[in-house]
Amino acid sequence: MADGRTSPHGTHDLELVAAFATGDAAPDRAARAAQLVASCAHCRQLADDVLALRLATRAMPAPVRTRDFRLSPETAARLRLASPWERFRRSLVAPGGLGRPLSASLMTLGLAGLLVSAVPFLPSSLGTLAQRDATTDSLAAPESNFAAGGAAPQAASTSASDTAAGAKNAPGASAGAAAGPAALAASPVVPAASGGNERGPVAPPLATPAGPVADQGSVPGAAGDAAVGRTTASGPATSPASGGPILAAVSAVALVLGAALLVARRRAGRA
Amino acid sequence: MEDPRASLALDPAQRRDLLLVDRARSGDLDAFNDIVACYQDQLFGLVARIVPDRDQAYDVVQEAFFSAYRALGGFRGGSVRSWLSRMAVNAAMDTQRLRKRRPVQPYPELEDDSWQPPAGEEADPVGITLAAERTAALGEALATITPDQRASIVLFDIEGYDYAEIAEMTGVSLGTVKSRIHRGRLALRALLADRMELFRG
Repeated sequence: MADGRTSPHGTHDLELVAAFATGDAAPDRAARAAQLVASCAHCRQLADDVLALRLATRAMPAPVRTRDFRLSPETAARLRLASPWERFRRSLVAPGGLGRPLSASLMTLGLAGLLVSAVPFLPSSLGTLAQRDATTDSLAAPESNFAAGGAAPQAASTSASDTAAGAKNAPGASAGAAAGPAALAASPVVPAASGGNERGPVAPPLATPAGPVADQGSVPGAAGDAAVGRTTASGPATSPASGGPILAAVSAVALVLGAALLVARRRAGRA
Repeated sequence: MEDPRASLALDPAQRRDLLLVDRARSGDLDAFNDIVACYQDQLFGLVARIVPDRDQAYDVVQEAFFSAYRALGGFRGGSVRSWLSRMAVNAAMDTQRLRKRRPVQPYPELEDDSWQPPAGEEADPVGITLAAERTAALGEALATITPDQRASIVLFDIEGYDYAEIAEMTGVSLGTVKSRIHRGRLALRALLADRMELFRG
């Protein structure tokens, strides 16, 4: 017989010929199959062989059963009384049951959880970014208030300078000593100037600890940076410390459960 | 469209099956065992051709009847034979997937003298020998092709189910069933290329 790979027969649709041989070819393709069978000796032989194999398969004697599968009353009672837990357990360890995907999922989640909890900077950096965004949002309003109503702090600064200048003229008074009270006197102007905004009152507590009275224009920014600095230092330190061990414990439990389920399925398979 | 219940009512075997299922649902174990008695030969013949190992085939059939007994409440009507066959095929396929890495002696019954093809009217020794050889070769080749192809061929060629029923039983599309059958036959032919003379003529 010629090698089908080097002859045109190698390019013929053998599945179509097999279908045609047993009368299963689709009507729209039957003509093509008939043409192949008529024109190609190998296809014709293939069709004859497939038909002969089908007939031989049909003629195969039936295997003889030597066991009776009828249920005894005890077996029926056991099947009826199987508890939901027992059914669930069987569904887990049965081939093709829930056990395989469930064990794989648990082990994957467990490993992923352990990895996440073992890498310290990953949740920390995420937490820092999130909290930095939140803090920036809360601080943006006072800064914009200063920008929008910039005349107010400027006016406060000017009035403070005027006051200090006026104080210079006072006998026995130093400029440095005068600047402090003047600036402190000016700082309450800030909430007053931005009183129309509900976030306005937030500014003084932030500005007050910054302390430097000499540079009024940098007070809100410096206070904001200080606030962010405090948040960055304290936020991540508390969040992973409280959630990390819990995540690790839950992940470990998931990993162990998944592994146990896998072992149970293997044992059931061997049994 | 034809009412399926009407067609079922015309089929005495199916009507009997439905009555037995109703009785079994109400706790009549004898009724369930009557169903088992009716179908255990057919089910074992089906499973033993899909699962080459005899012991595994017995276990699969037993498990299929256990599943049927548990699932009596979920039976929604239709053909009891198809319902049982579906359970048996699914159990057989699960077993094949589980055991696919463990080679077994395919069709040991072919080595057993107590299991031989029935003698024809002529009882021609040559014919009997050829038939046995043909059956052994075909059984060996069937055990070699994929379980999906084997199950589809057995269900279609031997059990007589149509494509739609096989598709429903095995949970695949009609086209997949056809493809499995045709590719399985091609695989059989390739495996038996050296012994095709046994089957020709």
